[in-house]
Amino acid sequence: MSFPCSGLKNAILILMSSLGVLAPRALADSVPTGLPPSPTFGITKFSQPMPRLDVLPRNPVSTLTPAPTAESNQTQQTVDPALGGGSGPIEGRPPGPIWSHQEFTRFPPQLAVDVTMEGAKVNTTYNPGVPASLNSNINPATPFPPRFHPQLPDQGPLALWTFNGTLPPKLIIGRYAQPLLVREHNKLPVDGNQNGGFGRHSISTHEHNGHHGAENDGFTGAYFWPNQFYDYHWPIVLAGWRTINPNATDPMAATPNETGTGKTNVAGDWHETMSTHWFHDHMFSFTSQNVYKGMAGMFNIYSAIDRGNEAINDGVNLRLPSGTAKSYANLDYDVNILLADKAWDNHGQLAMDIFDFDGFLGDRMTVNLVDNPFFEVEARKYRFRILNAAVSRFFKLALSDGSPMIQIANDGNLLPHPVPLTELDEIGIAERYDIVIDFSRYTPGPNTKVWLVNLTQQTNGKRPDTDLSLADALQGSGNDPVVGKFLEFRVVRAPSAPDQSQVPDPLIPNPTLPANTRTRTFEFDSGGSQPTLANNQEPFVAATPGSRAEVTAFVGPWGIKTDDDGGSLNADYGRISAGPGYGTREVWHLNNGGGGWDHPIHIHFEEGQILDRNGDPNQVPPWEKGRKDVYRLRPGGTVTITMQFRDFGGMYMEHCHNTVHEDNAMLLRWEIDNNGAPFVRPLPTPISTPQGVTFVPPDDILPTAF
Amino acid sequence: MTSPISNRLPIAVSVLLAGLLLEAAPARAQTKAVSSFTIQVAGTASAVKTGLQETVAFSGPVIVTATVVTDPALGPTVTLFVDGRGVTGTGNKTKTTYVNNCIANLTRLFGATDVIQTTFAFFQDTAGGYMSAKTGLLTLNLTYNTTTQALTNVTASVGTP
Repeated sequence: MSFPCSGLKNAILILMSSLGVLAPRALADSVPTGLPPSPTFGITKFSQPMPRLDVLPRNPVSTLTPAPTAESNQTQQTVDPALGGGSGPIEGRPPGPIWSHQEFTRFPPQLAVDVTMEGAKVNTTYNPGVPASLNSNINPATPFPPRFHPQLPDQGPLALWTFNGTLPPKLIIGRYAQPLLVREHNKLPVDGNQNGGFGRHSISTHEHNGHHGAENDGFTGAYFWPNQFYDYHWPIVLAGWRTINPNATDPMAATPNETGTGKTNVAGDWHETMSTHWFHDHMFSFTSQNVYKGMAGMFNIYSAIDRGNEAINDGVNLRLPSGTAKSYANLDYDVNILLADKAWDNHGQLAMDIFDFDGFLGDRMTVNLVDNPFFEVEARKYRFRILNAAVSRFFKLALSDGSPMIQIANDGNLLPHPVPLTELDEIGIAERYDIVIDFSRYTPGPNTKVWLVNLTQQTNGKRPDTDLSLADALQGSGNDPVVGKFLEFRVVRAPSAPDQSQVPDPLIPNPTLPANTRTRTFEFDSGGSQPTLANNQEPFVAATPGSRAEVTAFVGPWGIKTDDDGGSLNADYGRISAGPGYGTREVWHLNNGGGGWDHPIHIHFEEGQILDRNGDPNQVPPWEKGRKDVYRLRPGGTVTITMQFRDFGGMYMEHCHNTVHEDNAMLLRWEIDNNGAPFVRPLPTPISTPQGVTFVPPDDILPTAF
Repeated sequence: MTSPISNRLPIAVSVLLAGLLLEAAPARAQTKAVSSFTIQVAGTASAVKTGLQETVAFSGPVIVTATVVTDPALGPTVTLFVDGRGVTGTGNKTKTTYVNNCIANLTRLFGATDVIQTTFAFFQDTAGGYMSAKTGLLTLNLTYNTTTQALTNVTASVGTP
């Protein structure tokens, strides 16, 4: 991998700063990015429309060539010399029965999403899923350039890597009982040096937070290479489907029919219904760079209860703001919002400081990857599915006039009760807040505007500095250019059709929990060690010969301590740190063990519930009383959660979703175990190369894991 | 074949820098001070500002819990947990009861004093009342002992922004 001049420059700056050569404020002109301030190119805020996400086509599975298979397709192809030459499999998924799609026969894919990961190019097939009148009059037939603003240059193919290589970011539509086969082709440069200064051309895509078999979870070590594809099978099932409502008799557990107003029962616990997901790269040690580079999209999951049709009144459908034309998934008044702070260089190309292990902050705010846009709305209720897709930044949102919003979901899960708020909580990285804003309080007109405002000032990747009052935030912050207004709502007209949407109470009550079987404690801190490596310098040498820890282990400033008394450990995806029994529920204490930092902790696979914060159930706010998959610790804080481990198995992850912390070793592997059945214990670790995946035994199993 | 070890070149630099970055390692010199105050607040939300037909008089308890965490690299930070859900309002004309959702986690810089203004939603205590929520303003004046980092006094008022 090459290090661009800007990277070297910053490395030198950081080194000099650390050594006291520079006074701390010598970098003041580059706060908060660690880079020179992004040039504005004369941009004024709110001068371009916010595009809806680009809905990916869903095609018959028969359109895929070759046809998808339960086990990885190991048909050989010639491997580019830049990748080592020889031959290797066309599919990068690890081979054999362990990485075979679980329940592929029971849940055969019904639709296919065929997508690439490649460098930036013009989008000529933009599908916002709504007419232009509901997309701020963006003409989808007009080629959509890969740029953050019309006054900025196009992003080059080495600067921006996205799904299909285009903007806007992608949206996948799914519904329960309609399994998807997402085939992702890696069309990134074969030369790993051709990365525009950051980013890794081997990739793994995590469906955050899919209830899928681990082979489809985007495991950090199950990455694939340029010219390969990976078939992800997303069965889209309700958790508990093996044991709760297994015969699909509960009418609340249902999926919309493809057309019409009907629905079809499905197995599982309807209290586990999920709604707003996203998908993003999870490449070991390079997640922050790859996600920042554009490898992120959103995934809306529809159910009979959260149908995306506000008119169907069947006693199950909650009729949340959406639309009426289609059976389900009406996007008219249901809008995905992907927040991400970015920075660019003097040429307007995406830039990142990869040497600051505290985290990376951008100095420009983007919404759906365009800079500080506007969005036209009608004077009625809208649902916004807000995703924090930043690397290290937290956002606290309010409307500029202080008007109330109603939070209906957290991390994509509808809350037990709607929560009216005038200021949302700080949204941690990877968290999703679904909110309803009622614009009927405004009189439509050319000058009727209200803004979404960020109240949180952050100048260091470790944590937010302070939450400003709305009045102060509207004045902006000299320390943080991302404070203040960033999205302008223009209330342009009365509703084009009657608003039939509702925000009922209750929404989705929490599932009933079975008995707890075990309690574990995880402490997230710095100063971790890496016992699976014998040294901390190139060439890395595994402490246990043959374990391949030199591939799976990483050395960084961050770590996680478990119940094992071995101290805080750096990430090693060859190490098994926890092995909950299949079909059990456990209670996990997540403790912030170091400094004033903050860590939004993500645990893959099944949604959990927060039992207490800082030991006090009363400190769990109403918007965290549903199901979650990201648990923000806060400085010095603790969170107690409970999770169930059922339906599928394999190796999953737990990590800080400040992805710089994650990449610099705050990650661990856990796996669902049943003492050998139905899943292998312990699972062998995949070692990925362009020439194929081999397996090695775990190089470390913590004594307290199983 | 491309060796996975080629992935590790950046790691070498990472390790080098991690060893040199003085602020990357010190973590464990953390202290945490937790203190809590419960105070009674009162105030009114004027009809002019809320758009309601009446002025709403609020009174009740607000619980403020301050967690001050020190960090050698960053300085102390405060996480405030504010819970004013016990505050209720009464309309001066209709005698309607108003409840609220005044609960917040706020990040603040630590200092001897701090003035915080945070808005909250209040609404009629009826089914679906949250659909017509209005905006209130809670102002907190906090005083800390800078040695112990504990709250020593809290005063507060309720009004409209």
